[in-house]
This record gives sequence, C-alpha cells and structure tokens, in this order.
Amino acid sequence: MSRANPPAPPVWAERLLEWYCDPYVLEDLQGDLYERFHARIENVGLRRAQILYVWDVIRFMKLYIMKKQDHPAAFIHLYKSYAQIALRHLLKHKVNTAITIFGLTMGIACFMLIMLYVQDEALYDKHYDKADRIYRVTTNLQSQTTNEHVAWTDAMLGASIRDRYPEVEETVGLIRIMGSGTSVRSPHGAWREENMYRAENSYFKVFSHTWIKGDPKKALAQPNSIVLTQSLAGKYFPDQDAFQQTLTLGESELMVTGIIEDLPDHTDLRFDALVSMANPLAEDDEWCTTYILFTGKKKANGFAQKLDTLYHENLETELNEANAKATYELEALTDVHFGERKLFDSPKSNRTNQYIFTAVAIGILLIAAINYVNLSVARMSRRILETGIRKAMGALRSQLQAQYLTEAVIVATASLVLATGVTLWLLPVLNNVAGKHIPVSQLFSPRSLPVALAIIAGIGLLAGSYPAFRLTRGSAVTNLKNDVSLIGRSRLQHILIIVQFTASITLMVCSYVVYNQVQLLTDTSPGFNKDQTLVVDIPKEDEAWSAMHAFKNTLAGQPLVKGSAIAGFNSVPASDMDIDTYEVMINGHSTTMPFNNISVDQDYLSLLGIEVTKGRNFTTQDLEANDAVIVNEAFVRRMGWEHPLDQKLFCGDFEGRIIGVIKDFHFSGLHKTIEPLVLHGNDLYPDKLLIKLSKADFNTITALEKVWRSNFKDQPFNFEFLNLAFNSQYHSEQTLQTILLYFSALTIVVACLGLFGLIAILAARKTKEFGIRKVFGASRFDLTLLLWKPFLVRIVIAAILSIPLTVFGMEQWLQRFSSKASIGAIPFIMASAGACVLAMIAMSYHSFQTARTNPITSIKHE
Amino acid sequence: MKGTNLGEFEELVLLTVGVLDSNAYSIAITAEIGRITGRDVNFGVVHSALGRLEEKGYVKSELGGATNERGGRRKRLFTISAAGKKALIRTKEQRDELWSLMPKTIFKKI
Repeated sequence: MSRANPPAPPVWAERLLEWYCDPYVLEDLQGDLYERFHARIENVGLRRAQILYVWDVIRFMKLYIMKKQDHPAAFIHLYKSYAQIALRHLLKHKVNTAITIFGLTMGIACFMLIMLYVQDEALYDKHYDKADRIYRVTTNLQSQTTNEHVAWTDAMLGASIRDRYPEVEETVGLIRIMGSGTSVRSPHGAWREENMYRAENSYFKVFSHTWIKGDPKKALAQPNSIVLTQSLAGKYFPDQDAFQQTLTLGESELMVTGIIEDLPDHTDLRFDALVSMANPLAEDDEWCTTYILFTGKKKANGFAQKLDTLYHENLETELNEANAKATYELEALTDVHFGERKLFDSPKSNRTNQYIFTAVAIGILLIAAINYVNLSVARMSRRILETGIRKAMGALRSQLQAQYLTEAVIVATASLVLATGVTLWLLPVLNNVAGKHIPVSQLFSPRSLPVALAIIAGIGLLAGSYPAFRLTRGSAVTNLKNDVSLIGRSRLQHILIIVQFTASITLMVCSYVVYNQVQLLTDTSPGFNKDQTLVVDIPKEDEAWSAMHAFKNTLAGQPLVKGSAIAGFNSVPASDMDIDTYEVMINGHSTTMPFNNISVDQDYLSLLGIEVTKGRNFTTQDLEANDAVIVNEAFVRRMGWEHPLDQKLFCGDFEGRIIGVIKDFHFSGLHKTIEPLVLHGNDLYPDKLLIKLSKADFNTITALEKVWRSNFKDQPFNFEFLNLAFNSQYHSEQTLQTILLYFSALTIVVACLGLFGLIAILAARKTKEFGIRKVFGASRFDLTLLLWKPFLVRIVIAAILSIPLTVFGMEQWLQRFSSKASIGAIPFIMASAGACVLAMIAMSYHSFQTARTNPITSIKHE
Repeated sequence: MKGTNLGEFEELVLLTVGVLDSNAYSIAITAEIGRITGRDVNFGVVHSALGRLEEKGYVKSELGGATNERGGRRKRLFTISAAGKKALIRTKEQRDELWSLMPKTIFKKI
C-alpha cells in the first residue's frame, strides 16, 4: 500500500455500530458506511467525512437494525411495562414513596439553590468581553506601623505602562468622585450620588458595555462629559431623552454624551455614571484604580517584574523617605471578587465560603440520595419473592435490572421536577437572605441541563443499582426460598446511616460555631458605643456649611437627641482610614513613619463613649487652631513613650501637640488587630454627621428629617445606622451563618425521615420475632430498645466521626479572625443528643406500634 | 392487503434492483435512484426499504465479493424474487389499465 495508515472512520463510532447492530446486517452495513466514508473524503475532506460517518452511525440506530436479543422481544418494548409496574409499586407503598420523594426533593432543591448562589458569585466580572485579559494593579504598602494593601495606585502608573510595554494594549485609571462632586442637579431636582467615577477615555476600550445612545470611542474624550446608566438617566430626566442634555455636578456643567445599560449585580467596579477627565490623569496627584488590558491572555505572566522596575522608578525614593516600602501587585479581573479585601475596595466574597457552600450542597444531595438507597434496599426485602417469581416465569436478569433502574429513574425525575418548583418558590427568599438578585431564568440556563441529567442519572443509578444487581443475582429458587443473604445489605445500610448522621452532626456543629463567631463579632464591644447612632451625609457645598452648624445647634435643643459630632473623610468607624506620613521622635531620633489617621471634632469621643485615659479631649479652641492631636494607646506602646503628652507630631506643614491618649478601640471591626491611630482635631473637611438618639425608631427619624428640611432646602437626608454599617463588615459571615443554619436543620430532618421509613420496614419484618419474644415475657420497652439500639449506636459513631471533620473545617475558617470563638465539646454533645432525640421521635411511631401488637396477631403474620 | 402492498418508493427500489441486475447493493441502488429521479435519496431510507422488501419476500439477498474500498467487508447483493417480479407486473398492469381508462381530453390541454 502506498500509505501506511489509510484514512479510517473514528474507531469508537465503529465500535458503537458493532455494539448495537444486528450481526445479520452488520457486515454489509459497515461495508456500505465505509464505502460512503471514502467517497466523502474526496468530496468534503477527511474531517467532515468522519463527522458524517458518526452521524450515519447515529442515524442507523433504528429498531430494525438493532441487535435482536436472545429473547423474543427487544428490551426497548418492555419499557412501558417497566414504567407501569414501577408506578404500581410506588403507589402501593405511599408513605415510603412520599418520604423518598420528599427527601430527594428537598435535597435537590437545596443543591440547586446553593449552586445558584455559588454560580452567581463566580460570575463576577466575567461579562466583560475582554475579562480574561484585564488585570487590576494594587499597591501593597508596608512599614513598621502600618501594613495596608491599597486597591489603588498612583496616577502616573497607567501612563508609564501604556507607552512602554508592547504587551499592554491599553490601561485605564478611574478616580472615585467624592466630596462636593457628589451632588447632582438636573432641571428636575437634586441628588447625591455615591457611585460615580472620573474615568480616562480609554475606559470603554477596556470594558465593554451595552450602549443605548452615544459613541463609546468619543463619549469620554471631551472634558465635562458624562456617561449615565439607563436608570440614572431616567432619574434625572424622567420624561425626556437624557442624551446631550446638561447636568450640574458639583460646580461644573456636564453634557450627557452617552447612555449605557445598567451594570449587572455581579461586578466589583460598580458605578452609575462616569465623568471624563479635565486633565490627563498622569498630571493629577491622586490615587486611582488602575486596570491593564493585555494584548493576550498569557501576557500577564512575568509582568510583575516589570511592575517592580516601575516601582523603583516612580515611588521608591519617596517611600524610602517615609521608612516604608511597597510593591505593585497584579490581580486578574475575574479573581478580584475573591481576593483579599484591600483598602478602599469593594465588598468581597471569599473562596473558603464558596467551598463550604459547595460542600454543603453536595453533602445535602448525598444525604438525600443515601436516604433513597437505604429505603430502597430495605424495601427490597419485600421484593425478593416477587423477583423469584418473575425469574421462574422466564424474566431475564437484564430485564429485572432494567425494571429496578426504571423505578429509580422515575423517582429521581419526579423529585427533580418537584425540586425545580420548590427552588422557584424559595429563590426570592434566598435572594433576600444573601442580598442577591438571581433571576429565575438562571435556573433554566443551558448549563443547568447537563446538571439535571447528571442528578437523574446519578441518583437513579446509585439508588437503583444496588437492588438491581444484588437482588437479581441468584437463581429463581434461592429467591423463592427467601434465601438471599442479608449480611452485605445490612453492612451497607450501617455505613450509609453513619455517613448521613456524620454529615448532619458536622453541619449542625459548624453552624453553631459560625453562629457563635458571628455573635462574638457583633456582640463584643469594639471599644466604642455604636448603638442608636445615625450617620448622616453632610452636604459638600460651601453654602451648606453654615446651615450645617445651625442644624447641629438645633439638634442640641431636641429632647430625642443626646448629642451630635462631625467627622471628616474616612473617619466614621468601619471606613477605610487615610494614611499619612508623620515625623516623630523615638529615643531622641526623628523618624518618619506612616500612620492611620482620622479627623474628628470635640464631640466625637464622648458621643462614641471612647475613654480618654491620659490628658484631655479636644476643645473648640483646639479645633480652630488645628494644632492638637490625640493618639491611641497602641500608638504610645509602639513608640515606647513614657510621657506621650510631651510629644509632637509633624506632617508636612502641620505641627501637632499630643493633648490626649485614648483607650484602644476597633475602628475597622474585629477582624483586624488594633494599630496605631492619630486623631486630628479639625472640622475642615466634614463628611458625616453622627447623631446619637435616645430612641432609634421611625418617629424620631421622621422628626429629625423635618428639622433637616427646615435647615437645608433641597439637600437629601441620607443616613444609615452606625451599628448596621459596622456589622455589615461581617456580611459574608452572616450569610454563611444563615445558610448553614437552614441547611443543617434540613439535613437532620431528611436523615430522620429516612430513619422513619427504615424503621417502618424493619418493624414490619420483625413482627413475628417480636410476637415470639413477647410470649416469652419481653416488655414493650425491651422490644423498642431492641429495635432502636443499632441506630443509636450508629448515631454515636457518627458523632465521634464528626469531631475531626468539624475541627478541621472550622479551624481553617476561624483562622482569619483576630478573636476566635472556641469550638468546645458542648456543641458536639448537644448536636449528638439532638440527633438521637430526633431519631427516637422519628422511630417511635412504628416501633411502638409493633411492640404493642398482640402476639397472637403477630405470630400469625406472614 | 397490508404487508404485501408495494409502496411507491419500494417499487422504485425494486425496479432499480432489477435494472442493476448483478450489481444491486444498497449504495449502487441509492446512486441509481438518485441519478434517475434527480432526487436527493437518503441512504438510510433505501437501506430500510430493502429490508422491508426482503421481509415481504420480494427480493432475495446474498453476500457477495469483498473489496478493499469497503474495508474488506462483503456486499449484500439483491436479486428480485419470483414474488417480486409478480408484484412488479401486477403494479404495472394496474397502472396500464388506469392509463387506458384515462379520457383523452385531459391531456389535450397540456
């Protein structure tokens, strides 16, 4: 032959053909297809010919071509009968069927809900066309006194990268608009917006959006342009087209040059509007969020070194002077949501929680499936005889197997359909609990189909295969004599029950630990009083300033208000503090160091109940002079000062006497250890007004709003509660707590339902035995105990097994907290006792029933 | 009578089996029907039609020579059986009779 390997059709397709095809037809059909294959190579090429060959093989799967089995009717014809018999059986044992389907439905529904949640989290920022090539640059700042990873970089970085490296296609810098820039005026009213950024014109080259009006290339090219999202456009210009209208933002007039669709929920860079830059970003002395778009997916590898070079050139000298160093770090856009939360960053999810959720979802599904296996194995004992008769009548093993598998698939399909209904019903609840907006359509996305099929096939095969293979193995005679050995079966059941209860108890204990940790986080005093405190946005316009003071004075006369204080930018607990470089004296040497700092007025400390341990609080004179600072104890400890009140701090032109030392408090939640902190006494840049109320209810707030309206005509009254804002830092822990709580309750219910069904079957099987025992003097109590003992033993084993699992999982999870809840023995004892009690309740009905039966009836049984 | 009836497509296949004489196997038949009718004939349909014809006893089949282009597999060669010939003749007679009864005026307009 001229060629060593003549072109051949795919081997697996030939195998498939050989497998299903009747040998009488096979040889010539295979020959025909081979001939057609060769003819096609000439016409359409090898590749397509192979595809067409496969298509031919699939199309020939017709009844008349199929292998005639060694029995008269091909198994396909029996499906109707299988289904019929299966339905009859399911309807005959209604309680059992109901338990099975209920358990499976719950299991699958939980699985779906959790997976929807997990999937939604995973979708973050993947909707951008070039998402896999976009990276974010962050700055990791380190010094002796601070260790902060900032989500921003200096403004120069973008421009220096863009021109220098060929693998960089584009960069974009964005600066969040704060201060007076957040007030927006259109002819239809005034608003304050939190989610607006100034962005370079390159933004729309990097990030793709759906445009309703405007040109992505030009929209941000001119100064004083603004691109609005659809909903914001509708808010500012309710009855007209917002495009090319003008708005006032702070002091500048802006033209609407584009309208884009609202951003989806799963994005980390949330904005409602983008404003063009007046000057090139690099000339700006600000920090900005920087994104890089690489020309190819792999181009980001090794780019970190180039960033180091840039650091040496741009920042090193400046930072060395401050005794600090930094590194630029690169983060893929799609990983940003799962990364560690940085300073000035958007809220993050975390991977551990994602893994916990996925594990819980699979665990619940497993528990439900095990329930089904257990019940069907138990029910099998009733069908040994039936199987024997069928065999004696000539049924083949394969047919009996098909019979059992059909039954399992029917149950699994029914559960899946019901579970879909339950999921649809519960999805709004999940959205509410987790603070998400998952659309119903997500459930029916094309990706769900293979999962659904896998569930049906998995549960169907898992649950159906054991009886199918075990029960049909022997000859008809062994079956008819009821002689099928039971040892293997009970061992399997034994293990399955242990697995189920191990999972339930582990989940219960975990949810208890998580609950404790959340309680610890929210209940432990952070060192200041965060209750009944409102945080109100202060208008940023200069004119509003006098009104602000008038308002504060009016509040002093209100009976409902205990006090009020003005805080500067980033100075309300839980916000990201500013860092500045200070000169301090340590051991007689002047040293430069960066410190976290906040700006507050004379009422701030007393309002939050923070104790001044040395020296005094600010006074109005201090505020006017702006020459005093207060530090915390951690600061004094770090400096090693014996007389802190003699010391001074310098920061640029600023010179501050230390007039007081305060007790340490957790400014940023209990995740973090307390670091040195500088409090400036000034109200130069007021951002928030803290108002302490005697009673935080609706009427009080309405009354307050009235006072506000009389002082500020058209300024919105935006407020939040300090304790809620502070506790929202623990949002992901709280979500985890809620989800674990619900689902651990559910697993134990499902597991107990399984026991209920199992004990029913077991009790029925032991009816005769019990009768005989009763005749010989066994009491009802003895009999019940006899029935329960093996199960209780299994639960105890499960409890022991759950200890290492829980400890391992929870220690991992607890690692990130600076103060940790203890795991302890009590939750294990409580969970095991709870599981035992629930199990006993589940088992009581049938076992009492059997134990009570008159021995005469029960001995006559069978 | 159902079962021995000769359908239009079956008739076409049966006739082609006759035409191809000693080389009547499924691929050749498909090609020939395609050539004569100008239709895009589906191989699978021809295959199943041959199966039905054999079941009805209108064709007989035997395995013929193996060739290299078929991967060394033999062909199933079909020949018309006596019953098949009868069925063809019967169909033709029915058609002829109907044609003879056709009023001449109908075709004048064409």
